[in-house]
Amino acid sequence: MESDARDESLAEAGIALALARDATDCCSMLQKWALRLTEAAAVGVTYRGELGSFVVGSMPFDEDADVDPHDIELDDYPGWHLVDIGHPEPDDAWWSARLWFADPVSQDWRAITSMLSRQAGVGLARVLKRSELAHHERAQHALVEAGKALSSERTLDGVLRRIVEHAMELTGARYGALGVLDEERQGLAAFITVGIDAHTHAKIGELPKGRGILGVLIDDPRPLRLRRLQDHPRSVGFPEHHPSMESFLGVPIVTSRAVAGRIYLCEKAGAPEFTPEDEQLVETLASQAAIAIDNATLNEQLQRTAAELAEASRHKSSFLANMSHELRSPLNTIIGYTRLLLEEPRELDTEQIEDLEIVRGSSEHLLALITELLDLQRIEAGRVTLVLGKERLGAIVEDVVASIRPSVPEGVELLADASGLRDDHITCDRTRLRQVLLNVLGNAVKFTSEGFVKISVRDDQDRFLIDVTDSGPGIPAADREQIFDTFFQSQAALGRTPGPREGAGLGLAITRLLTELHGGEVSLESEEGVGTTVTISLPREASTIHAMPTTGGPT
Amino acid sequence: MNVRLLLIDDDNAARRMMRRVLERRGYEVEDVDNGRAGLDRVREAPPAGVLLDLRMPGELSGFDVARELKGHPDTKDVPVIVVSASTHLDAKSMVEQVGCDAFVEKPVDFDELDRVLDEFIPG
Repeated sequence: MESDARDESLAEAGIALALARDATDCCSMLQKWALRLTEAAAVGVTYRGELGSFVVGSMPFDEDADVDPHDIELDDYPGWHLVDIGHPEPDDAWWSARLWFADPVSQDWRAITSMLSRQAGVGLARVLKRSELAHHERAQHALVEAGKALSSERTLDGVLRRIVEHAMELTGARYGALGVLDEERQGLAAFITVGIDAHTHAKIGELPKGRGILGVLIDDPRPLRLRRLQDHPRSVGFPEHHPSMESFLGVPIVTSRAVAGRIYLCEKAGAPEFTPEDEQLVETLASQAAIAIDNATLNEQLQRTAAELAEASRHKSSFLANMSHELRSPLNTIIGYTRLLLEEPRELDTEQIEDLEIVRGSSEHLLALITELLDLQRIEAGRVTLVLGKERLGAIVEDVVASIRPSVPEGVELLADASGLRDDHITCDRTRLRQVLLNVLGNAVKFTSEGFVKISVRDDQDRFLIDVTDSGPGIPAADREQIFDTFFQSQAALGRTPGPREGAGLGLAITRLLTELHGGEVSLESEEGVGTTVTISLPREASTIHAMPTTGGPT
Repeated sequence: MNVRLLLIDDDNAARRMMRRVLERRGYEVEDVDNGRAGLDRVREAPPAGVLLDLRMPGELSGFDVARELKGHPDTKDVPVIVVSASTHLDAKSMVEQVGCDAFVEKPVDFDELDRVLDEFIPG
């Protein structure tokens, strides 16, 4: 061939090789151009890489022979020459290709084959780069899809199975499995396999969990890639009926605490072994598996804690109910006998009657305390459910006023005014609202020794405002904030109370909680030496949203 | 003849106290300290009313006695007034479901007791 024509052909070959569609295309073009330009007796190209291994053209050995064309002594094949196809960036190469030719005729066959090989190298690198990018894109997409699928799976087993399936899809593995270590890290809590059909599975029977190479590897924190699984020193071979598997990739699942298990993949389609890129992809999936396992563990712990808390709360409630019973029983006889003695006042002198009244007052104080404590505990534990009904606010106020009237001291006027309402229909829990009003009104009466106590009701759009005003001593500014807190009693106000001390300082706390259950609010205005106004703001329609769910138990 | 009431309560002090209260109100009072004896006594000689404690150790609790009395045609019309320190709503609703006539909380408010006796005890 003339050198001009040869140079032209080489240029043409260079362009064609650089623009090859894929590795096969590139290698067969290389074979054809080399054959034409060197006029060799035989030309072949071998390729080994991510996309598989293949041979184009003629080789010095039988294709079926057990010979690795990339690991060969050329001396055994006289007349044959070999050129390694160079990768433009050798560090990046994890494929290799070789050009084989026998008895070249062209004088400058060395230059021709070297040049063609270099150009083929560029072409292959480009083809593979492109396929890597495409693969990378596919992998990205698949990972996103995997993430979506995972969030839709409810059970841990379901999530783990999806992870194995995605790992198989991304790497082209024919078989996949995922093992999770149990808490003692001795055996497997779960072993999910994909790819072996049910029939074969049944024939194999129980997989040797914790034994064989799968067991040996499970808590090893390193990933492992093998061309032949059986070559691993710890391999004990496959159980009977188990399909034979060669290429192997095992990636650990590392949770926040330790290695929790491993993803196993076997038999990469179209390639003798899994690639480092496969390993990376599966590591990403393994980290998702780790998150799923962590979440499941956390969830289990949370559920256990919640169950323990519920149990503790039930114990507390039942303890308090028992306690209430145990305290009420002796009080029954104390209060009963005191009443019995007081029913026959003729048998007693004045001082004895006064003494007995103190016993009675103190016992009733104790009883009120027990009742309030239990009530408060139940409300705070969310065990109080409002029983809502259509009621008339005017009637409830009248009823409360009638109950309080006997305890109003002489010299104090008890006034009620619910007349200004255009419509006094209210949706509320009658018993609980009554309790609220009795508390507030009772409190006002208790602290007022002269003047008046007044309850009045006003409209305020979709709410009622109930004011309880007294001409009592008032509440010091410092105490106003805390007056609705549990166990708070204004010492200043108490010091001026004429009667025996009653209640435990829980009445107003209960009042506030019950009002809030109705979706209402309690507020207070007070001026020392003038009096106090407590205002309860209640919605006309208490909704069940405000009524806490009851979990049963003592009520 | 006086109106006869049967008092069933395992708490001796409470029983003694109630006996005094009821006798002072003119009733004839018979008392027993367990559910079994109480149930047998009602069947032998039905009283005008039963005052029944709920929490009692032994073969029959107050609930059991109430269920037996109200579930049997011969005794279902005998008024049963539960007198108990189990004041939670569960106890009250169980008592109501069984068909008891009234629930008086311990410690007993005498005014409340008088009202209940007036309402449910004939004569």
